[in-house]
Amino acid sequence: MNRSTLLLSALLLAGCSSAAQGAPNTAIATQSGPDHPAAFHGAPPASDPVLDGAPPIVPAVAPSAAARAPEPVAPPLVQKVQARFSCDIDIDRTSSGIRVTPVVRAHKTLSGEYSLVITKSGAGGSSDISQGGPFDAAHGERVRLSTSEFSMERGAKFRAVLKVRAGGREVCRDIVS
Amino acid sequence: MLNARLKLASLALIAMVGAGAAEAQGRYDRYGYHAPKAAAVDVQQSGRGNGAAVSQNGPRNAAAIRQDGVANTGMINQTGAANDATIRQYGKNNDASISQVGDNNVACVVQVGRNLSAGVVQEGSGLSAGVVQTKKGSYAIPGRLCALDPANRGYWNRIGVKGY
Repeated sequence: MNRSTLLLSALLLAGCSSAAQGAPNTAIATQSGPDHPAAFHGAPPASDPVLDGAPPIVPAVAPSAAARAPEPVAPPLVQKVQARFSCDIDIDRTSSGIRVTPVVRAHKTLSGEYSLVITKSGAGGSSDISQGGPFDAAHGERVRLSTSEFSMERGAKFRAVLKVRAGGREVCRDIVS
Repeated sequence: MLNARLKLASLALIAMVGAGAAEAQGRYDRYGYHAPKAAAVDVQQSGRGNGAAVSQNGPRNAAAIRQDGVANTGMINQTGAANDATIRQYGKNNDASISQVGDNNVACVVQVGRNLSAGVVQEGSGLSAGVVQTKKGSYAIPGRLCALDPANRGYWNRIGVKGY
């Protein structure tokens, strides 16, 4: 009885350790928060490590306070523009559905272009709305760029994406669904 | 007898459509067309399987699509400024499109019935065109009548079409 129990335990332990050794590695990366500046430039930052499956060989260095201190990095232009500019999608219920109003507010006079894409699907039908064009926002002014109203029957879904460009760059984005 | 039946059918359809039909937010008065302050889109659909697509690039454009029925499709493309387009379709399997390039153009397509198809293309400025289509025929109307709603009483008289 004792022998058979010991034998069974040994077999189970061996099976578990071999399964752990043979299991593939899994990595999940999640980013959240404000838009990453690299997204506006379309190119990854040069400091990004190359993911070739093997850890880079780095000579061991004794930790020190100086090595841990982050290097001062100049904020990119995009963040500066974002700081003095904001965009939102206002959603209002109407008697027949929903009204979508993209709004921008600039803390300094700014000109740019916007694009708003709305997709709606439901039993009554589907709608694709795309609006865009130039805009001018004065200092501290809240500018309504356009209005889009559409019917929303029960169970219908929609998604609205607002992108604002100024100075040749995307400076703001808002998504509502 | 046939005329009376058609009238009854039209009235029933119009009553079914009811109030609240979409219309572009621009307006006409005795001084002409006035575009909205900001670009505007209004899409109202009821029934099932309808499809609507609106694309506008430019300031103060206005577009509206109203579809009641089954499998109607409407498409509006506008590039420029202060253009106005309206599509109204009541029935089944109708297809309408409006394309405008330029400024201050007004166009509309109204279709009542089945398997109808109509399109308006305008390139230029200050152009105006409207098409009303039923199974009995197609009628051209001026742009200033595009804001009229077929759900309203006296619509056919106001657009100058007899026999409805």
